[in-house]
Amino acid sequence: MIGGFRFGALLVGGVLLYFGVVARSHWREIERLQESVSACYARSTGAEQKAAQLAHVHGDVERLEGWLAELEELLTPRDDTAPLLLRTSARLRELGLEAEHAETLAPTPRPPFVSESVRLSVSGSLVDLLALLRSIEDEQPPSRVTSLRVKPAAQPGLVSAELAVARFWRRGS
Amino acid sequence: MTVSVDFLPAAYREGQQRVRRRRERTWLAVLVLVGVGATEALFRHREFGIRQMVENAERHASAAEGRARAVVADEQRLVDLAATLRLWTAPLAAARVPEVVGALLGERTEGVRFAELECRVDPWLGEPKPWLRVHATCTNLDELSRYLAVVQAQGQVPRLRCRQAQAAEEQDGVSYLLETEEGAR
Repeated sequence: MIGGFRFGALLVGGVLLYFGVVARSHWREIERLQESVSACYARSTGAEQKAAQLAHVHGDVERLEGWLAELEELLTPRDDTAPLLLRTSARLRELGLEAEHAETLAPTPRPPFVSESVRLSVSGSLVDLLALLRSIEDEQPPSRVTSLRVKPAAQPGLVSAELAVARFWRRGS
Repeated sequence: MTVSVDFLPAAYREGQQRVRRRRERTWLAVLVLVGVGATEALFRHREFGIRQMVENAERHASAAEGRARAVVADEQRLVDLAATLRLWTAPLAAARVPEVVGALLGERTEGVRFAELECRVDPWLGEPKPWLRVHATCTNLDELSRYLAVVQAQGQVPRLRCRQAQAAEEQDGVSYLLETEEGAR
């Protein structure tokens, strides 16, 4: 039979062994888990701040997609769109301008667009010429006057002009 | 006179003491074991609770990160869409010849007469300003300066410089040639 001192020492030793080995590993595990919780909260906080913009950014994406859809429609030729030369010549006649020369230029690649260009020599009143220029630029698909040279014509009150017009639309449309 | 006589043998008493000590030690050992067991149970309970918290926090963080990833994807989509929109609208952002010519002619003062006007725009060059050349005559150089100041105050017309100025041949006044200034496009 073990003595009183040795029995006490055995109990104290056992308790110390438990706290020194087993309980200490529990403490460490609890500390590790608490650190994990803190790390998760930190991740959540950062991610939540970013996620708070979701509705705003998504709204912007939808708005831009809407604009692109509108633009795509404007940059798409309709089935009944006449060639630029015919269209411009018709507009010239409507406005009472006289076409001295009209030609379609060789197509120039303008990625991501397909373009069609014409060169015209016209004469008439300056007011009619400006009306022609404005009507050309209001066309759809978009057309632009890329070059214009105006000088007084031989007849008083009239001008003669050389102009180049380009019409462009989206490739693939 | 009283005499106490111990009839019990010493061995018996020692046996009794051993039994008592063993019982005390057993109780003490049981108490210690119960204490250690309770401590162990508390630790395990605490660990279980925190593990649950970790799982919840992990789920919450993963959900938030999923939403954050959706924001990043949307932001990238926004960048792509904006680039496409810029590309598609680039030719539309170029100066419009009718507006430029309209601005030049609209601000013309009495004494200014145009001999020739040339305007070029390349919508695909990404240069919003037009190139201009103007041959005109005016009664004097002060009038030309006033005209230029008024015309260039408008946004549509680029900065022009007077390349040539000379006495007009057919009438009194000055003939001049204006051209877009280098770097003004």
